[in-house]
Amino acid sequence: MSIYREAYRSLFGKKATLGYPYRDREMVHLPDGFRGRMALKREACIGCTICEKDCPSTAITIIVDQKGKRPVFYLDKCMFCGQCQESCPTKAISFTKEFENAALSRGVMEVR
Amino acid sequence: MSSYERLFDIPIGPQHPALKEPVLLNLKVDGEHVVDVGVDISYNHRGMEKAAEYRTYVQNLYLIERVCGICNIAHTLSFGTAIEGLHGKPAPERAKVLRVLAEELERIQSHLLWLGIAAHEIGFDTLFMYVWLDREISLDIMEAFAGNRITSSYISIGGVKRDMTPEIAGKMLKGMDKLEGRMAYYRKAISEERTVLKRTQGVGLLGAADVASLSAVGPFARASGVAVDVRADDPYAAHELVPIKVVTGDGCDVFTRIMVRIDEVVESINAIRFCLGHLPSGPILQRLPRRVPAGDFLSRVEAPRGELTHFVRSDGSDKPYRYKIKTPTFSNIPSLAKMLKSTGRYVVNIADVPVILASIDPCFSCTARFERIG
Repeated sequence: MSIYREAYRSLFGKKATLGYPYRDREMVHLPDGFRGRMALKREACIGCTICEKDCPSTAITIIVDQKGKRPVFYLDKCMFCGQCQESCPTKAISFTKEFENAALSRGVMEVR
Repeated sequence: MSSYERLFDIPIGPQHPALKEPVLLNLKVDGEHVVDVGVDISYNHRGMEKAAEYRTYVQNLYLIERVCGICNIAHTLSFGTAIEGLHGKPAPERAKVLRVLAEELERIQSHLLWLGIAAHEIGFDTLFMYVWLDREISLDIMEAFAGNRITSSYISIGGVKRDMTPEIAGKMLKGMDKLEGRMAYYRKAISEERTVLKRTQGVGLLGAADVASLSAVGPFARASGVAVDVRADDPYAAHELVPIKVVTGDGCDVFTRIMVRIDEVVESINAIRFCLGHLPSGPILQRLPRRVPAGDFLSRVEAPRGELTHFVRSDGSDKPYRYKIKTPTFSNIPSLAKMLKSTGRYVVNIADVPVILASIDPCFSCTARFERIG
């Protein structure tokens, strides 16, 4: 019997799901510390290549730019575990709240 | 003697609408009654143990986490304990309590997931939807606490990755209060609901003697009155400090397994409240060297589904020499085969097979890690 009361309650209650694409991005509440698309603070990076060695899904490759060695992140390989952020000795890697990272070309899915 | 001239074979799986994961149950049926069953679980060999030998310990943390998405904390906790054991340096006290907290939070979401699946298997999808909506409470807390809903990457070698903040603690306590009310409701609703009682009471019987002799583990064994729980028998992490009541039942059927799991969720809620109230101060992580001393270590953890065993052999390098995992589902397969056979007055109907299978909380993709050749 009590299941009928529950059915009645959820029939007229607030919806639990959100429509996608979101009409209003403010409706999505992401907690602090959410692991979305990563960002690199270039001035903090010392090119130690530890992030490349520790990455479990080989989503990081090291390239050389004007300032020396630096990582490039490939979002199509990344599983957002956060180990690079954990291993970075200078805290140059951080994760943003940007989670809609799917794209049709792989070129867009690089974080340089 | 049988009223039918011969027994028929009905294969269920490896692909079947009632199954979520690949397993073959080769049923021998006499009319509607299952008289014998052959179980083949090796359809999803993922080669993870071998893959672990080619990765460093840091990379393995994320490989081991993906053995089972639902019990990811249990797997990483077991892995972390093994590596810390080889180093001979246990995690800091605060990290230990945080690990128990994460583990119990995971138990809540896993048991709620199972409750939904059990409801689905008996054809009661309304309950399935309600339970999974309440599971979102625990998943939202996990996301705020660890950064992700399922593969949370929370535990690292030597401690945990994130500290508890007062905001998250407050959110957690609020969520626990809400969940406790919901669990009281489900306990009442399920024990009164005729649909559930008719499909689960007296179904999938397996007595305590059989459960003990077939070495069953987890809530499945506890629902037959066998009080096996690694948290109480061989305390790891901070389980020596956190009081835990081993929930048992003596109905030995699917209904008791539902009730035991509901009560375990309540126990986990209490454990989380205790952890939040008794969180010691101090560091949450101690950095350990990348090279692990040579030796063997076996660690046991109570995953939501039962006892989970990890074995690691190190040769002193930064990669394991051998890694071996035994998941709880594997320990429960002999009991499953026994439960599915009609003997004497105990009959198993074909329609009861999905819910009996679901009652051990199977996770075959975690289990199949060997292949018989030839």
